[in-house]
Amino acid sequence: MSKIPRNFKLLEELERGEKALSADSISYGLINQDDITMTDWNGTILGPPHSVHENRIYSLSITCDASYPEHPPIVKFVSKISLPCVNPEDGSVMIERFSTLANWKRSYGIETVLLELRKEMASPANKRLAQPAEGTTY
Amino acid sequence: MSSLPKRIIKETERLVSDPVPGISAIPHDDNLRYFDVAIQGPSGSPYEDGTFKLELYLPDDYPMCAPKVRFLTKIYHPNIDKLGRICLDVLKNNWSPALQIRTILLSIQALLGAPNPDDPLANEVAEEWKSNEALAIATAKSWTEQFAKEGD
Repeated sequence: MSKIPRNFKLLEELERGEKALSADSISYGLINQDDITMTDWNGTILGPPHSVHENRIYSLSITCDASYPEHPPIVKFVSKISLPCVNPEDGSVMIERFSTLANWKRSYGIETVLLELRKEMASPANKRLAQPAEGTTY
Repeated sequence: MSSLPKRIIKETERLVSDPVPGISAIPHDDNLRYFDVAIQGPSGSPYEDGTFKLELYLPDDYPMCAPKVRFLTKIYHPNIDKLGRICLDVLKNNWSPALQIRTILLSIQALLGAPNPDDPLANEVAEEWKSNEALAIATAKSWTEQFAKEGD
């Protein structure tokens, strides 16, 4: 397997996001449609059912800098959330507490991050954590 | 590291030894499937005298599928969108393994000389191209001046 360069990987990710080829429970896209560097993305996670997050929609920001995908993106919740891997001060997802970022692989993408965060939200340990008021942001 | 198919080695050698006028394509040292490309705007077009940078990648199944190509230089053209993605039949359904990097780059250069607003990728640009061609061409010229003429 050859290594797909950053920009072409991100173009593929964008296409999946634009065509909504990924799961219904998440979405993502570029913040600026003319950002030729494809650095700043927004994402949403639909709260998993049978959890405190059910029917809530969480917004996130995802930054894919020049070192992506050799290194993981920088991921932050915009919507307030209580999760062990999220810094309660600013909503940033802490790499050392979230294995998808800590054990990052080149084949992962924005979609992987959002789906794995959603699994965290639904995990038995986290699904009943008291949450900040719906609609509040960092 | 997987070895590079003979076909890609041959194409690359020929791009260097027998370059296409107005087009250069240089592979990255650390990824021989990834090329830095520069295309001169065709004379007589609004892109004349501009140098447009692109990037090109040969996926694993090349030449069974087309190269991936994108403009890095901003360009005002009805078949090229704000992210530099190109709408061109030979990059999509009309790709054939008989085509090559060089023929694809020539097709892109030809597309600069012959915009096709009836098969648009950038809708606003295509609308302007159809409703006020003179203004669209003036905008394309001024973008060329602004973005495609930086020193190097």
